[in-house]
Amino acid sequence: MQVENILQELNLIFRDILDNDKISLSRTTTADDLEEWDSLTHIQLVVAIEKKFKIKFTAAEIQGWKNVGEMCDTLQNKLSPKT
Amino acid sequence: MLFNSFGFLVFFIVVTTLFFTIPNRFRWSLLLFASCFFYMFFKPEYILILAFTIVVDYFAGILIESAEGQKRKQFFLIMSLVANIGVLAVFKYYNFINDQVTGIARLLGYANHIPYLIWILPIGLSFHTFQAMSYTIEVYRGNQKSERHFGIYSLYVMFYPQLVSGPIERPQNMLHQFHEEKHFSYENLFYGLQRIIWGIFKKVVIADRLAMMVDYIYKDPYPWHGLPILLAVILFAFQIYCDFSGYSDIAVGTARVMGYKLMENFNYPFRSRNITEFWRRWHISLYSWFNDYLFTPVVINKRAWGSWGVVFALLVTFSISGLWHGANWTFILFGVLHGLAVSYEFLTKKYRKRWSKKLPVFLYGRLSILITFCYACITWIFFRSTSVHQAVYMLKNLFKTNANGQYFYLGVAEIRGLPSTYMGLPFWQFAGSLMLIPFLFFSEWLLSGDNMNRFRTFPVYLRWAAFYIIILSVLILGVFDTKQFIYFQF
Amino acid sequence: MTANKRKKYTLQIIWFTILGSILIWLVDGAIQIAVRHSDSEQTGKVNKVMGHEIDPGIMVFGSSVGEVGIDAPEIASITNQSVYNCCIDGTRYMQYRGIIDEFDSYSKNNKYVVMVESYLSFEKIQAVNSLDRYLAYLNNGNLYNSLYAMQPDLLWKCRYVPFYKFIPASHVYYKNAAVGLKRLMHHSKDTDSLMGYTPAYKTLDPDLDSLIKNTPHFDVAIDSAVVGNYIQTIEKLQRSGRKVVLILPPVLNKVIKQVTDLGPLRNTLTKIAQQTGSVFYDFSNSAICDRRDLFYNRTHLNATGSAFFSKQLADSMLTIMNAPIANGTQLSNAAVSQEK
Repeated sequence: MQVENILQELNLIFRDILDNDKISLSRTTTADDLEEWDSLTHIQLVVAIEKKFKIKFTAAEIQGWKNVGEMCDTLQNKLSPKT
Repeated sequence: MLFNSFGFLVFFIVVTTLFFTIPNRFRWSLLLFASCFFYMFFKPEYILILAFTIVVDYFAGILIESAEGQKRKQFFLIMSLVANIGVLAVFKYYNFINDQVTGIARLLGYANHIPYLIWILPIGLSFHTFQAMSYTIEVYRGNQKSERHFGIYSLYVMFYPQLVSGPIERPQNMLHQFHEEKHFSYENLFYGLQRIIWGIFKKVVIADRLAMMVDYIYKDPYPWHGLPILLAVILFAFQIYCDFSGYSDIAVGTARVMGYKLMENFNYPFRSRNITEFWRRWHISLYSWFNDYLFTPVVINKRAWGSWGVVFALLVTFSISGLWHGANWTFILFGVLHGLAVSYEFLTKKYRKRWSKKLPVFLYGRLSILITFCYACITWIFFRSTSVHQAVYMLKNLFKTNANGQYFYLGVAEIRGLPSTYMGLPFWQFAGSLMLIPFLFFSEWLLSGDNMNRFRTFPVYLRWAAFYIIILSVLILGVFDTKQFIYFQF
Repeated sequence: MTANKRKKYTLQIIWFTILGSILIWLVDGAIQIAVRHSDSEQTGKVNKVMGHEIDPGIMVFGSSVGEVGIDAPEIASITNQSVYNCCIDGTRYMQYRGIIDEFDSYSKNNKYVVMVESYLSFEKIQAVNSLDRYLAYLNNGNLYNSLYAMQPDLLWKCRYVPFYKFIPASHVYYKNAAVGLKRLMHHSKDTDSLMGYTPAYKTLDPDLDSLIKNTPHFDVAIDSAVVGNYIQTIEKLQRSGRKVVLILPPVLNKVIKQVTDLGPLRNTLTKIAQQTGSVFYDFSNSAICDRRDLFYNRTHLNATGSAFFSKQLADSMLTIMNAPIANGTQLSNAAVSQEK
């Protein structure tokens, strides 16, 4: 899957979980940029992403993300594993 | 050494002056020596406990980083955590745990022969233990390089502004600062001194004056009903805020004068519109610690449970953070009450959002702030009471009248010709102390954001006058009989 | 940062500190002056002596026992002398020694010094009681020395470390400053018609007997160093031509006997009187001691009791005042028990 598609899918998930239609994610978006994104909703986002893409993240991966871009990268690696 | 003591004033001036006069390469040893001196002012022998955890964590950091494979890294991490939590458990919770063992044994018909410890809790143990643990955890997570310089690592744990009551720092913020050369700057000096003076004012004038009335009720609440209980509960909220945020201000200011930037511990907590927000504004360093190192791993681990996983993680985190404050069921209940509130807010978020749209904005906002404040006050009843029984009594009598059907009675009954007092104070002192609260609100409004910048543009003599008034107020209105900071006992 | 800016900031800091210190020093001084003019309660008494305002024929020193027990106007009317009850609540010889010295240094009219003692009188104390009352006079040698002997560290800091005295100063100090300021502004005259006497219109606590059962027994503390100083003070007063009268006022004997034995106290006072040639009147076995209606606790007389006792004391004083004086050591009376 392409990165832009991933970003779009994430955007939909964020809008749904955070209950805010105005969200427009970019690779540099962090939790500081979105009021509703806190440690409580973060795990809901993670669960929703795992469900949608049918993958599982490790704890280290989840704790390692610094912005949306890194989430996308991890996702991409999981979806199309390097041969 | 207490921050609100004359000795500390001398200590601070001497250390800061020396800091900027000696060459940079000796500064870490000066600070370390000063911090040891500062700590040993209380009970010198306890420095050995500190030395033990410092040595363990220093080596743990290096070993974790150089270890091959996750399992070995985990091993060293667990070794470090066990050492730190073990020390905490022995000195702080041993007797409490033994109490529970006695209780259970009695239920089963046995006596508990395990002896109780009579060791005094080392000052600041909960704080610097947590700061040390954040180091090993961050090294383990790969976010921080291990510190090879033993002196600098020791300084990280023992840095005197934050040694005794926080803020609980992270290695990413502090370690690199200890490696940098700090240059004297008037900006830092003025900012630091202003923070210190304001912190002292909050602690010595506001917090300690309110404490006189609060302690009067809490030391024996059973003769009281109604207004005195209500006042004691409300005043305690402001007392603990001024006490702890005042201390944090002094810590931040002291470090800043030398050029070190510590994290903020408070962000106008009484503006919180819900308990979740409250914990982002109150004792920020502690709750972000618990958030990063306890809540997040638990909630990730239990994410299959969905919302209930979050609730579970919240209750676990808040109960333990309550227990962090002290070895008593009252503290655990304090934590649980907050855990329940945050869980409730989490589960009902969409529902409450709909409500907020129905009510006019200014009303909903103010109502939320008021409700949040009241809830926090109620949880603080448990925090402040020495036993659950006492806390429940106070809760039950917040709005009851006394034996004479009076609600507003604040004085001592006319026993043997004693003059009537108002929560233990003569009337003018009582009224004056209450006036401190609106003064606090006014000052914080003055000091926030843009107002501070505007203040800086005022003519010199006005600014100086303000400082002189604050200093004189501290000298004249301040309460100086060795009242410790509330968070000292942690 | 430019050199100019650095200079500007350094100058600012220096000026701020200098101006601030001057300001605080002025405020400190102003408060101190105001406190000295207070006539309120105990601070007022200290002020009267330290300000050299009173010079009565009979001067009474002691603690609260004397403050409520010595009816000064009554004694004045019977003995026809000016009397002042300078007993200070909570304060015992070791602490008010400095005040006696100060009084001795300026008083010209005083002929008789009465010292009212109790079982706490000769205890060695290591904490100054109510420092607020004395904070305005730390530069006075007499006062400073007696307080310094009790708590050297604190007193030294209060006197020599700038502004340190703000730390122990409590609301009592500032309240007296307010009273003193008001007096200064209105040029008020002294209006104490009771001459320092504070009658206690109270009665005994009905629970006294049950309370006493729970009180542990204690021995009366007699510290030899304190006794030594006491004797020196008496001799100093006598050298100034004053007569010293030691008093042990009435106490509720039956109650006191349950917790302590006043024997050592009586012996000490007897010996002191013998050694110095002063008079010792022991009222602690008198008939008043059996009258529970005259006390409000086991050692303090109420207003009625005080009137009773003071009349007896005044009559005893008359015998001293009318007796011929030979050469100062004439009245080597031992304990004169008053059985009336």
